[in-house]
Amino acid sequence: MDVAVRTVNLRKTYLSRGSRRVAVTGLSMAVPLGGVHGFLGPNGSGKTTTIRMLLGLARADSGTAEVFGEAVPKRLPHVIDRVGAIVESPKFFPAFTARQNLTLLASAIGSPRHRVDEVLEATHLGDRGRDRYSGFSLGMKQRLAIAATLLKDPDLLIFDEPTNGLDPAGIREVRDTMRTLGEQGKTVLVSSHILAEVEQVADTVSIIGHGSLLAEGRVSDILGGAGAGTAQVRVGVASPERAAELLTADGFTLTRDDAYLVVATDDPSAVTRSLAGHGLYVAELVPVRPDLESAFLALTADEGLGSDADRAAGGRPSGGAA
Amino acid sequence: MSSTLVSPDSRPRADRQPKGTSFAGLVGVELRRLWWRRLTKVVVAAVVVFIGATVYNAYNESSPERIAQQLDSYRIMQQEAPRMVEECHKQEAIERGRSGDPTLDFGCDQQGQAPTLEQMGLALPLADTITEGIAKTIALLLAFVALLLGASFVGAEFSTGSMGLWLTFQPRRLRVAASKLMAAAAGGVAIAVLGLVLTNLGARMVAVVNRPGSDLQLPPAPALEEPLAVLGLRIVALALGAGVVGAALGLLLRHTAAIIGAVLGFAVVVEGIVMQAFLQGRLQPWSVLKNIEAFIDRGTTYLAESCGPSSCDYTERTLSYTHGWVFLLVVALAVVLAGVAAFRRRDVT
Repeated sequence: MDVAVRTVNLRKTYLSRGSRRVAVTGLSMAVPLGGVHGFLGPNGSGKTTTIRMLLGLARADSGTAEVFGEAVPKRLPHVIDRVGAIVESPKFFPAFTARQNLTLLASAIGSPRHRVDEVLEATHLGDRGRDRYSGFSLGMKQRLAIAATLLKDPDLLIFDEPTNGLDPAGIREVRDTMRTLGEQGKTVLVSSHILAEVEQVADTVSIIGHGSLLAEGRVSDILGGAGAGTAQVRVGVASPERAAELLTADGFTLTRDDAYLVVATDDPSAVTRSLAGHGLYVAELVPVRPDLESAFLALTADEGLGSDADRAAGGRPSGGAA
Repeated sequence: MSSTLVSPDSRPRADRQPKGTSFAGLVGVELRRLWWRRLTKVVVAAVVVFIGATVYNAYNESSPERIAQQLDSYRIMQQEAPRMVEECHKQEAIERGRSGDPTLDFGCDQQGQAPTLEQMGLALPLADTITEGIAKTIALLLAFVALLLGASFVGAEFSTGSMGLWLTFQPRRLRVAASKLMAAAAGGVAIAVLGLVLTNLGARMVAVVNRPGSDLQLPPAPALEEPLAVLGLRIVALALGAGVVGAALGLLLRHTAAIIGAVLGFAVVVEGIVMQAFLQGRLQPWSVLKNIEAFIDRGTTYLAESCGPSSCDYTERTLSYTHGWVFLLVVALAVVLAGVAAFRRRDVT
């Protein structure tokens, strides 16, 4: 498999108040070339630290990291022109205009000046180029950061929690951008603790907890693993109590989910037949597919990361799909 | 409906890829950023205002009316001298009689020697003399301003977090540090040159405007010990060094407020207290401010205690020009090395 990013036994500790705090420990992961790769983990699990090490902003205590086959940070200058990154929130000079900020960055890499106008236009900031960065909304700041990454025409884009603080339109914009970049053959590494967001765009994922890898692979494989043998349907009927009694009597395993029943079955038609046989008619029948959130919760629960993982999933219940 | 921010670019890859930039280009980018900063404009304005005020003060000090007043005082002093000598001799005789010591000497004859006009500082106001006076006065200020500019130039990058973004475009840290130090040096030079040019222009205007009439007979100002340009070069070099040290402190401490606090703390505690209070003044050769004085004035003096077999006394000692510049160079190099090493090793947030 061709990989854009590879880490082997990466370890990083921080000295904090006289004691060492382990941020990343023995992390080995691979990001395949092309497409969108989700980098998932609860807050504080080491995602940003890993990204910082990939970009040469933080030094690993031990282990190795490669970007496009070049060891980083030693050989980073040889590949940095192929890498665009937004680490945490965008950080530009607040007193400078959007155009000034981009002009400096473009000049630093020898990008032609017209490229600044192009990326400003592409990110819908063409008419805000003369405005100071300090007056930008969070969404505009995020778009300016994306514009900065596009100055290089990179092959690898690293987005660290790119939708933090964005409104729904902004979230969609960033999500669609990542998907488009992936479809253009670029590699997009997106770190996030919002699992639904990553599930919608990622082809592959790496899930980390407490600084080490918990699972890695194609999203479909991870979901398949999480949902194996647990096909379920959500059933909406006029009388859920009676329906629950009848289905239980017919041998189905089920749980209540407010006004709905969640029934474990490989054959949804058996549920409708059973209820119809007793004069109850199904108003709604929806397959419950395992989602990344469930898979994530299952993985992190195994590692004793329950509370962190709950926060990562937005504090929502798992829905019993795992 | 898709709302993507990117669209396929049909141009060849070579047309889209950045071409890279040379080190000189990188320094140029840093200089552009330095010039765009608000603080730079504030500093330039402050230098203009301060030098304007200093030149105005020089104008007042050398105005014909003021010189005429000083000449009047001088003449009165000359007229009064014989009477003062006579009075002194009277007092001397009385004291000799009272004490019975005929060798008692009040030094009355010396009192009768009125100072010369030159000793009184009364001379024709010449542009070079005025420039020299102001330039030596503002040298330290220009150096401090250059240091502040360099420190803020780098410190702001860390405090805004934009250093991290910059390093994702230019990951070679030594190259980045060197470009920032060079830009800070250039900023220091520019500030000093601006200050000196304004000083010289102002001094020339003062000399022309305040040229006394023929009724005021004044001696020409004593010749300068060295060409004005040489003094100017030393002040420029001082500002250059201060700019570099400021930027290096920025790399080391990463926050403008921390740097200003450290510099002011050093000035008060080390320069103001330790150097004066400990070892009876013998630490002064290691004072930064004293060495700056030695560098700008081509040598200086300080008072330190010397002890003989029976007693100790404060004596005047010399701090040479060479000691001054070598010391300052070593301090600057040490700060720069520490700053660059810290920037190279430490994580950037």
